[in-house]
Amino acid sequence: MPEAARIFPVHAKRTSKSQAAPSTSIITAIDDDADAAATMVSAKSHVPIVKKRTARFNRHQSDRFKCVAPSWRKPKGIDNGVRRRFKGTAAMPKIGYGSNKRTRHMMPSGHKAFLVNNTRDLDLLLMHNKTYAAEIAHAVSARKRIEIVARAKELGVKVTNGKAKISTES
Amino acid sequence: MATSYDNISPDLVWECCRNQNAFLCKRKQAGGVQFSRDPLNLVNKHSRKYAGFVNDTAIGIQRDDNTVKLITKLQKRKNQPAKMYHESSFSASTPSRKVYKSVVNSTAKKGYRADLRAEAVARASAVKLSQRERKEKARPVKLRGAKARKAAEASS
Repeated sequence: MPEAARIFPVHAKRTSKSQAAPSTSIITAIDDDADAAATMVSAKSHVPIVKKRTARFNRHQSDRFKCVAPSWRKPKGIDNGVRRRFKGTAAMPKIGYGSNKRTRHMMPSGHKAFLVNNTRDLDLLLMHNKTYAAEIAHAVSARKRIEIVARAKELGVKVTNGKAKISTES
Repeated sequence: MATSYDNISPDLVWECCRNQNAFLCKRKQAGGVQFSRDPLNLVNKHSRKYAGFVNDTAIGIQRDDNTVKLITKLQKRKNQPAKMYHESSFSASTPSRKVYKSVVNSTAKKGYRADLRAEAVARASAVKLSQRERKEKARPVKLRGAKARKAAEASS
């Protein structure tokens, strides 16, 4: 309650003096982006995204036989050296390679993707434009893509594939 | 005689339709994110607190053409779905701060869902912002790769 009550005076100060010190309240945070939102809203600040491993885990012996596809399958053999984690053998995927929970599913921009089929789906992201970015589904036509991109601009929602299928004459 | 459903609590309704309902929008992305299209949901989040169709009292803020529309649920008429909502809208010329103030005065200040005060103001602000005319900023296009080399050659 005290925090909510604080909102009005703080906001009033902000609008009357545009050069006032930045504040952490929700409303001012949105208002601060008024100019930036014209193009795109940047994501909330977050801890750095660390990928513990970027190389793929290839299936054991997929490099030796073309009939063994590289998609990961856990070796199950009783004598298998990879399964027994011998020194020098390939690493196996395990839970420790997982990303920090706070940056999981995050794109490099700091947003998470949300699949959008129409402008109605886009409206869901009105209050989440700092956490989620819209991704237009592949089957959406160019005509509707233009509508979606225009609406996203109004809402200040980032669209990850906003330029796809919308060709301009060059 | 109108049927009375006094023994159906919001908690029961929530348990019945938390897994699937018409407003719920599920995605496999981002670890299975769930949003709600409910007009009485201030943050579009699928959760007990914000589910407007479940709770007896709820606040909704929607854009309506060029105006901001405030919807509240009337507790007295909870068994009359057609008459259950109270709607009021603010014209486009109403200043933002006035909108926030009247949203709060007509809801949280009266003890009507005081827990949603900040969310209501934030949503009103977001809706106002989305309705604002934006000036197109002419930003220089940063060319990359072959196009950048071509442009550099042309300019030199």
